[in-house]
Amino acid sequence: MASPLQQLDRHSLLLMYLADELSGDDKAAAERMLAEDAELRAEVEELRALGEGIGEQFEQLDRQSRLIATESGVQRIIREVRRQEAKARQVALQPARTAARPWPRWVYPFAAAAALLFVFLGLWGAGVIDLAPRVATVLDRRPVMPEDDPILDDELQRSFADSSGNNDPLEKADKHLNALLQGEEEEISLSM
Amino acid sequence: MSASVPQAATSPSLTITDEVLVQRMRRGEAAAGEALIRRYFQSLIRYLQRLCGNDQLAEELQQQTWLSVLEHLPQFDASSGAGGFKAWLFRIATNKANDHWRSHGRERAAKEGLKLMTEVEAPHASHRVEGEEQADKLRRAVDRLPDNQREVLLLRYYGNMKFIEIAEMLGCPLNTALGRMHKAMLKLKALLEEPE
Repeated sequence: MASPLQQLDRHSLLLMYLADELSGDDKAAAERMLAEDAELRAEVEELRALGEGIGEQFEQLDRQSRLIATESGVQRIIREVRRQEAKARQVALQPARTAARPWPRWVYPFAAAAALLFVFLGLWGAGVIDLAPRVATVLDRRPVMPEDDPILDDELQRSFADSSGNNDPLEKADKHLNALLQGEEEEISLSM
Repeated sequence: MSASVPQAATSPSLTITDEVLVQRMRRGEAAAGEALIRRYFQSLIRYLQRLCGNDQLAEELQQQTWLSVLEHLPQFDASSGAGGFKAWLFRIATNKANDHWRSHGRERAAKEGLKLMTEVEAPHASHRVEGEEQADKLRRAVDRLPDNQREVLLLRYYGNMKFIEIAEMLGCPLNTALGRMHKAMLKLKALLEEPE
């Protein structure tokens, strides 16, 4: 890294010298320059006086405006810092509470519905809830077919089979019923 | 020049470095935080006063600065740059002031509020008038400096920072920081010599 003597312009170097911020070698070099150059010496004295003058002005200004006493000012800041800390702690506690609930909120209604379904299926499986009667009722609505009737004459069954080119169960049932009614009429007329 | 720069208030806790106090603060020791606030209270409030030209605002910004310090303490790395905690503290304060100016406008800030200058014995009346006039003149002169020059000047006098620390803090070359300081000094001198 290049030395400040090479990097800095004349005034900057003098400011660094006056602020006593030059390293040992650079400081020695600056002093040599000052010893050899009267103009530079005058310049450094001017800068020193200017700096001290400004410093004194600031001190005077500070004396004039001796503001807030340190203690009350410090206490005000400490109170505010503590208030903010307490607020931050409160906020920090809130995520801790939600952390106890590891799943997102929307999961819970679904989980409840799934649990209800599970219980229902369990009860159904155990036979506590019986859905069978409803199924049976639906099945009962199926028309009685001639082949289902054990007491139907063979002749009727045959005629039914002959006439049934179609497979519509309702039509079959109609024909079967008509055949039964005809048979009953015949039986009645014979008995008379 | 450096002899005329106000020093941070001395206290027994000065024997403990800022970095040690920061470590303790991180461990939750409230007393360490209080020691740091006490250590920098005066220099920081003076710096902010001169920077923004308003005492009430300076106090508010000082409070915001410490709250920000507390908030960002885990990110503070003492080894990451020159100046350590003090440079970090003053950088936060400078940023707070700049943020305020950006959002409110500097002129408005300068007109705001009452002075909070209390708790000191009033000087003799004639001295007070003379002194107050001079103080007002200096205040106005500082206020008329370009922002970048005023920052360097105030960081030097109130932050008591080395030029290399100021340059690093402001993110500019050392030569630039020194150039701004030199210009600020000359301009301030010219403004103070101007007739009323």
